[in-house]
Amino acid sequence: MRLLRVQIERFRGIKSLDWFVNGEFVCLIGPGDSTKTTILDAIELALSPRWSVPFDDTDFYDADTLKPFTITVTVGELPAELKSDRKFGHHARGWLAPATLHDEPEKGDEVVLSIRLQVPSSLEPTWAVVNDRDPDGVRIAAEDREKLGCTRLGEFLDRHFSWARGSVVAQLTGKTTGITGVLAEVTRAARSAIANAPVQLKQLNDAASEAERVGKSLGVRPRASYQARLDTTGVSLGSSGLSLHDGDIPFRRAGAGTRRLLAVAIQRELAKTGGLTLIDEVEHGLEPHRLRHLLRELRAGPEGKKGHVVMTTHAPVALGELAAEELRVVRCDAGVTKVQDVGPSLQHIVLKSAEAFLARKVIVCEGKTELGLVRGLAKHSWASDPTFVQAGLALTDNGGGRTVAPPAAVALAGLGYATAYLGDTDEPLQPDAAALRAAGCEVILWGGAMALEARLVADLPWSGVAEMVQLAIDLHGDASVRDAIAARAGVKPAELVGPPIEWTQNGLDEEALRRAISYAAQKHERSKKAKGWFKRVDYAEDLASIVISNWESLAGKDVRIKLEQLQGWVHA
Amino acid sequence: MPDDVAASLAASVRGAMIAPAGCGKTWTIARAVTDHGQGRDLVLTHTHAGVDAIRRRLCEFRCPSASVHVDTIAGWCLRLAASFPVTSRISTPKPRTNAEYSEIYASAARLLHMRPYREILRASYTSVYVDEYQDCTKEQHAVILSIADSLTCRVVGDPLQSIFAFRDRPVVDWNTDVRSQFADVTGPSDPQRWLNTNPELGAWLLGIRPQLEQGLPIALAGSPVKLIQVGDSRYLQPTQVKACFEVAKDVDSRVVAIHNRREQAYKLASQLRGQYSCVELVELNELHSAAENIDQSHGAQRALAVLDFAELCLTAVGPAMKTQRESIASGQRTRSKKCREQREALDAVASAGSPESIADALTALRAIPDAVLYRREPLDEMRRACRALSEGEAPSLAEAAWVVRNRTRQRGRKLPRCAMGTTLRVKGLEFDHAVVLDPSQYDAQNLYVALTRGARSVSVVSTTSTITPRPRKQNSGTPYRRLAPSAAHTEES
Repeated sequence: MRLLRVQIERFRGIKSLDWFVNGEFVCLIGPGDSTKTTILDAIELALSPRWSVPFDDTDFYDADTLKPFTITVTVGELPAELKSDRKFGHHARGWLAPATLHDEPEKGDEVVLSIRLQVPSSLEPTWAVVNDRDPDGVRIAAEDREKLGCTRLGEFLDRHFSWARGSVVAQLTGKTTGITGVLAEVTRAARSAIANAPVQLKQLNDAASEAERVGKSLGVRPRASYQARLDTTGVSLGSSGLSLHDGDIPFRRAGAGTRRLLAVAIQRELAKTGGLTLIDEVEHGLEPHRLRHLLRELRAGPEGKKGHVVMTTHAPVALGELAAEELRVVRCDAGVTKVQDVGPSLQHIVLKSAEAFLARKVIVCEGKTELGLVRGLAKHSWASDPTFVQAGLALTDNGGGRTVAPPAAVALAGLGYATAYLGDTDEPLQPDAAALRAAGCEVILWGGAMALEARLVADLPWSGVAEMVQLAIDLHGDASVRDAIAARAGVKPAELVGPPIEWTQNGLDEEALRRAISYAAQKHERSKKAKGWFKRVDYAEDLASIVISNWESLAGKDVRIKLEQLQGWVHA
Repeated sequence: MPDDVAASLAASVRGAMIAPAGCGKTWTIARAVTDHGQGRDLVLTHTHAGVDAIRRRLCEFRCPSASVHVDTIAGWCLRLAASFPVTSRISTPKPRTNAEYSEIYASAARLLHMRPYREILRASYTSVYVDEYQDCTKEQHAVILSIADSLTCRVVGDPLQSIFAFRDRPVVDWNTDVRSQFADVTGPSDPQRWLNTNPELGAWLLGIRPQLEQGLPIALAGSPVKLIQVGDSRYLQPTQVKACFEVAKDVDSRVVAIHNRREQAYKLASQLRGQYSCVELVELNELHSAAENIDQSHGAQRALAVLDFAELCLTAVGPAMKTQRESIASGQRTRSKKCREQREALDAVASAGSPESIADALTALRAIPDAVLYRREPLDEMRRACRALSEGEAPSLAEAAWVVRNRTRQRGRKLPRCAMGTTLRVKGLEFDHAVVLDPSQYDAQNLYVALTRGARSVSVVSTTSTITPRPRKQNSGTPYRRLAPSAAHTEES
């Protein structure tokens, strides 16, 4: 079975959703309350092998029960039995990859079925195979839904380790005929065990004799005599009472991660016949290395057959293990939920700063310096700001900054993320600032066509510039920093004596020094790669503390204006 | 031996088997399905009666219902085409005319050439059997061939019983159409039908097949057939009537009298004092046209339409009601006391026009002394249609007639103990005694069908002791003046 399309109307937080799944291994991501889990719930319920499911009014969007809610799931790669004209063959629809659903199959189409769960205000669910020819559809029984092999590994994992209907161990067992007979025997044994323990039952039997005596006074004659016995209807042992044990310990007592791994392992075994596995928060209870291993195994699927999995995650570790084409960003805007593909232009964000996808707002920083500065500011001064916490930070590759970061910003904005672009104007962007704004991005560029380092050197008072130089000296060594500045300023290194703050006191021109520092900060001569002083995230984070300590004196300066603009956007 | 036949039929991947009349064709198919089926088999035939017969056999053999589906070709194609109305491009999900049925077959064949529908077909069945294949039209043949592209397919029939070929609906030719597509499978050759009743007759009927296949004369003298020879053709009709009465004397048996002309059959039936009743075609055109006439007329005209219909089914109504009819038609009162009761019932039709009044009038007309009901089926069906209309099952009498007729077709109709009909109407039916009234008019196929209807005896009324089959005009022209039976008819036979 393969999941092709999911349509939801008025189910819980989702007023409407129409999602063409288009993938076998799919991970739903998005900020909290984006209805990811509701989508998994919906798929599970529509394909549920249970006879009935208790629903209540809160399952309706806005708790409005006047209209029914519906979940329609279109599935392909069907078991032959369901395609038979005895079952649903004549109710089939046609599927043309990647995303065309024909109500009647056309030449070359795959035969698919649309299964609809509908729950009206009476709360009585009906499952039906539907199409436009027969909108009411024909009922599909629980046993036929079971053949689709949809399994949810979520919160209530423990039932999967019992032999309850639809659990993975029950599916692994196959037909459970015989179990009922064994359980009946066990119940009878319990009955005779109690009957054979008269000493322990003495008090109860005394009460029984008393009942017999008072009964007789009203003419109730016992056929034998009254005794305390186990009533087998009171100790009904269902197949769900049988569960997997490790030695004498029920397996449900094992660790969360271990339980999940075993459930997945069994489910994978079952998936050889082609089922769908739904997994909530795949990282739940797992250490990073076990999580990575699990994801790889899930994707590979059993015996070379690609696994069919739809899951959700909040873990950057999990995202780092996934390819962009496997991710789907879920957004819910006033009940209208959208599930969108993540394009290849975001692959580097998936790899390097996957957590950005878990945020509502994303700041795309052009280079590591911008990223470090913003991160430093967030750490120190903006840390108490709750809205900022909710904004993610995306890092882009430094080498291709101007060609990689802008398309990523456009793509993120297109996925519905509030996106800000932070960079400089010393070289043209591709696409340019106007195009970024048109795509809905907030574009913040340092003034004067300057890189961040140059902008800081220009805007900071000399004391602040001196702090920057001192930081560079601390990071890269005294000699290399002095040499680079001296060479650019046209002075001898020996003339730059004492701490940088004192350099201007030696009769050297402050403006010339600033120009030299600005140049050297961006292009560090001694490094083979000619890297700037602060082109590392952690180095740039330290720049943030210089900005913070000079905040007052930066009033009216470009750096502060732009940072305030960014702060304002984060707050908005 | 018959088990071997069933086994070899089941073993063939694309086979055609010829099964002579009364040799256990249904038995063989049911055995093949029950004993050799793997998965679910599709069994197709032409008529609901045929479907019933196969189902009864399967039930008798305790074949699990999940492992077989029995249907008419028309019904099966209709269900497929109607399930995908856009792709199949059918204009109506309720076909009635030949053209509408043709469309259904063309649609089904078109769907079955498309991959998704083959996928559904293969998911539904592992193999298919088609019964009475000689009656398949070219259009039905095309459908079966498209099924055979996907599934193991065997066809069973008897070209010597192929009597449904008409100008506007050509049927398969066994030698050219069937043999080119399917490999021969040896068929049964035990005349089961006569085994316990008249084995000599059974053997003789099997023996004359080669002669009939070549259109050679059949000598009746000295054969197990009772020959009632008429010297002078002027005495032919009285002899026919006498022969019919004679055969009907065996009160515990089911009897059929076969005449090759429909009008002659009706006429004879009307002369047999109600002992024989006519076997009707399934589409029963007279019922539908009468219902339409009644729908479309009002007042006195409606009363006359009801009277017309009664005359069609009953003898003696015409003369008895002559005066009353003129009075109704002219609107002038008559003092005639003859048939007052019937007149009052018809007046109620004229004034109320309700379905109840129509049913009452038919009951009254049936009660005319000396009236013989020789066409029971149209009259009964019209009464049922009146009830269906009054119970709101249909918006008009004509529609109600369709509802009633379809129901009868599904349930199967009850045949009278003594039936009168043409070969077209009695083919596939089985009786104890058969009287063949006018064999000189038959071609080889019609003659074979007529001679094989009686399990205990066959009588032939003839002016000659040797019957020479008329040459067959292959698929050209109908042996009857009226239009060929519609596809709906072939549904039944």
